[in-house]
Amino acid sequence: MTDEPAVAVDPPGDGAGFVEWVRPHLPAMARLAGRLAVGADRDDVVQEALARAWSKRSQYDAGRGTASAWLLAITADQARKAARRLRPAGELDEHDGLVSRPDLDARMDVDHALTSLSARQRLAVDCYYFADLPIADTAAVMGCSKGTVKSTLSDARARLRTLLEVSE
Amino acid sequence: MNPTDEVDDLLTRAGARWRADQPSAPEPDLDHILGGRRRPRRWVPALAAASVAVIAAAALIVLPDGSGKPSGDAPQAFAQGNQAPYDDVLVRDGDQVQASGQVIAAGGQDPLFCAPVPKLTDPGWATGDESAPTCPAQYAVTLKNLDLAKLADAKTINGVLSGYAVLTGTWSGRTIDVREQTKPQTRATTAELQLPPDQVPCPVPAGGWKPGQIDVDKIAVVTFLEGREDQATDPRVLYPNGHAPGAPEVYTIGVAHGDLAAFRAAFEKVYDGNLCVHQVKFSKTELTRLGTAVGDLIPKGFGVYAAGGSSEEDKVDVSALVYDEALKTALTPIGPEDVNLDVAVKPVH
Repeated sequence: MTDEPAVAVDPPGDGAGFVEWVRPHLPAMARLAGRLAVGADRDDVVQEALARAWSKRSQYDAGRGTASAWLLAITADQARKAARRLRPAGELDEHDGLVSRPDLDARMDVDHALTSLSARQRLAVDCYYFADLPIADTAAVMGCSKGTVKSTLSDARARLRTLLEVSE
Repeated sequence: MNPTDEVDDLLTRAGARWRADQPSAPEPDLDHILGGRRRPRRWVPALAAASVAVIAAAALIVLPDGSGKPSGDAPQAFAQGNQAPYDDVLVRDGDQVQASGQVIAAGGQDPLFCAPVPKLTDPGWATGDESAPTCPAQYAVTLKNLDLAKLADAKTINGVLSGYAVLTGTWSGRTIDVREQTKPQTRATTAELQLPPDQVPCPVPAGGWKPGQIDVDKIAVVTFLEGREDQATDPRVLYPNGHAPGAPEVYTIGVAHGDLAAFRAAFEKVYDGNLCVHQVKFSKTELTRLGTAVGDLIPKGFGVYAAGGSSEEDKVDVSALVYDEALKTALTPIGPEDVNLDVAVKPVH
């Protein structure tokens, strides 16, 4: 997984400077939002996260973590809230049959398999494998240590392996 | 390649494929960032909405009396009245059933209805590389008297025909004798669906809930809760006044063990937003243990294909093909009252 560029300076106090400060992290923020807020508007989540980061910029402490980790933790929080606002799939009342998208079927298999994981395992897989975050940033999103991320990913792979065996 | 590496490889490829399909990151909206003005909400992309619908769709509905109408659109609420949990969805031979979902027909064999079981398969890189669809035996229902010409979205891969149908017929020993067959209705929802206001399990504090977003992304908050997984549940963010922008958010934590007031007082040292601390039956650790117990049923042929997670407080989510006597027996020592069972077989009363 890729390492984001390290930014060791505080967020600028002017809007244009702030935008340039966050720009290197936008791709990762967008990937994370797209992964954690399925069904919501990914770009809205990113914009909300940026607004939140701007309003909290005085709280950023470069000595406690990278800008990337800080921004991604905020993005994850916004994504969770956006996802929470959506009606759970089981409560959808606008369909009574299968909506088939052949082009989605193969990918749905993998996404569907991830539903067998615990919430923490799924979050780790989403961050590390799909949003392509490094372990350190995944730890920031999960609010845990890098070692915990690694063990959680290991547990997730073991669980998925079991699933693969029963599906064959 | 060892098994774990194989899964690692699958996930790596699935992730790369997913990223390749993602649009570029949005350009920061400076007006919104500086002024907090919310951009007009757009429609949810149809693709994403359709994805949600696919997950929710396949259902197999049982008509125990042989003449009742299928339940139709809305999922059934399972545990009702004073019945034992899920007895009202128990399936027995001779019941009329309705199935909506994927059908797989390999040459020379009876076609199968397949529960929406998660399959960990390589998504591949190009159309045409797909492998023929299969259905693990414990999630398959044999179909008799099916008209393959009436399948929706039919396609043939490596000689195996698959498609979708709504089927009604008689259930007997994991077989449906089809007497009625229609195509599923396709309604891709494009609107973002809004939830009604949440019921917060605590009284409204004097002065009401404070408006605006709560600050739960502090490491101190996460650390506090991670250190108390034996005592409390994962928190939920509830919206007592609905989900409009700026509406109050309430951090809601269930405490299974220990003194609620003491827990609250300790938590308020790291968190000062809207808070509801209330009594629940299970801690996060206990729910995890419960989920593991149910998950252990997955490879044992009871038709369970997902276990874990908790969409309802004090219950573990379980998905299975059908709630039959075998699954009932298997769930009894675990505690069916403690699971939120999502079966592909649903009765109509």
